[in-house]
Amino acid sequence: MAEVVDVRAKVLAANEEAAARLRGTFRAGGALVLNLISSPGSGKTTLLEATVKALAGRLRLAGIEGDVATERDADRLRAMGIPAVQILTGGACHLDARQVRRAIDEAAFPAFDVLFIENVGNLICPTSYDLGEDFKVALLSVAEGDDKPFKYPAIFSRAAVTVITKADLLPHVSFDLAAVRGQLATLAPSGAVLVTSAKTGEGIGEWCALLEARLAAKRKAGT
Amino acid sequence: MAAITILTIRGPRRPQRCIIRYSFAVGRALGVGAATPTARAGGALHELSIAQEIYRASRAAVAGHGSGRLERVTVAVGELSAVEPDLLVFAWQALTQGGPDAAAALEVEWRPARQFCAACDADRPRSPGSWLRLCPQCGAPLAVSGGDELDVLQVTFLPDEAAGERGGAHG
Repeated sequence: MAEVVDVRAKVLAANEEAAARLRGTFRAGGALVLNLISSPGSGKTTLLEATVKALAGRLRLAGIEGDVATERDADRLRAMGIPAVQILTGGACHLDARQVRRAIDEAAFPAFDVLFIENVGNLICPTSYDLGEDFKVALLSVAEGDDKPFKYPAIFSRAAVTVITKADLLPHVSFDLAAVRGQLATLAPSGAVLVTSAKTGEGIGEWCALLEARLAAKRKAGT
Repeated sequence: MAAITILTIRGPRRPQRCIIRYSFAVGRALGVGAATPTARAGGALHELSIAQEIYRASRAAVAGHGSGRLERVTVAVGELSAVEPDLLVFAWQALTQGGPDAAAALEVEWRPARQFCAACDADRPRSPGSWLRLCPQCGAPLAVSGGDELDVLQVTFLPDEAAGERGGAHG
C-alpha cells in the first residue's frame, strides 16, 4: 500500500532559511541591502556607477555582482572605488542566498551602509529567490518597451521600487510612461516608481534620497 | 564550455545521468568534443533547480516516514511564482529518469492570481495570462492577490516492503 504524506512546505524553504540568516547579519550590521533585478542591458551597473558618484563621501557602499560569465561588472564598481565581489553562476540564471552567503564570507567587505546585489540579468528566475535583501528593485529601460510589467508580473509585483532607466532616450522611442505607471499601480500599488537617466542625471538625486531614507528608517526601526 | 555546463548539475546522484547525457547532445550540436560535467557551486537552470528542491523535500518527507520509492508528488505553483509548470515537469522527469524514483509523477496544481475590486467587493475574472488595468464595472483600480505559491503539498510513496512484494529493485 502506498503511503501519503502531507508536506505543506515551501519548495524554496532551504533558500529562505539561508536568506533569513543573511537578513539577520545585515540587520546586525545596520546595512540596507537591495536586490537589483532586470533584463540584461537595462543599466543596473550604470545606475550603480551613477549612484556611487552621487553618494561619494555620504554612504559607504559595496556590491555583489551576479553574472553568467566575466568579472566585468565587479571591475566597473572597483574602478569607482567600491568594494565588489563577482559571483559567476556559470550558466545558472539567478543568484541564491547560499551563493550570497559565500560571497559575503569570502569578500570580507569593510563596513558598509548599503549593499547592492546585482542579480543575473533576467526578469523571471531571480524573482523566486530571497537573498536576504530589504527590498527588490526592478529596472526597466525605456528602450525595452512599455508592456514589460504586465508581461513579467511576478517581478514587478514583488519589487518595492521600480526604476525606469535611460529616460534620456524617451524622445526617440515609443514608450508610454503613463501606461507603465498604470500597470505598476495594478501590480504593486504601494511600490515607488522613479524615472532616471544615468546619462543626464535625471532622477538620480531622488533615487539616492530614497536609499538614504530607507537606510535611516531601517536603522531607526533596529534601535 | 558554458553551453555544456548549463545543463549539468552538481552532486553524485544517479538520476542526474540523463541531464549529463543531454549536455553531451548540446556539446555535439555545438561541435564540442567530450563534455565533462562540472560541479557547480550553486544552482542550475531555473526549473531544474526548483525540481531539485522538490526532489530533496520529497525524499526528506519519505525519510520521515520510513523508506521507499516515490509514486507521486503534488506541488502548488502560483501564476506569480515565476515557474513554468510544463518546464518544471520536464525538469522533474530529467532529474528522476534512470534512478529509483523514475516512475514518480509530478502533479502541478496551478494557482492563478486574483484581481479584486475593492469598490465592487468582487473578483474580476480575466483571460489566462492577461491583466485588467481597471475594474470593467466601475473603473476603479484592481488589487492583485495570491498566485505566489510554490509549495510541496503531498508526497505519495511505496514503502520498501511493498516495493519488495512487487519485485521492484530499489536503488
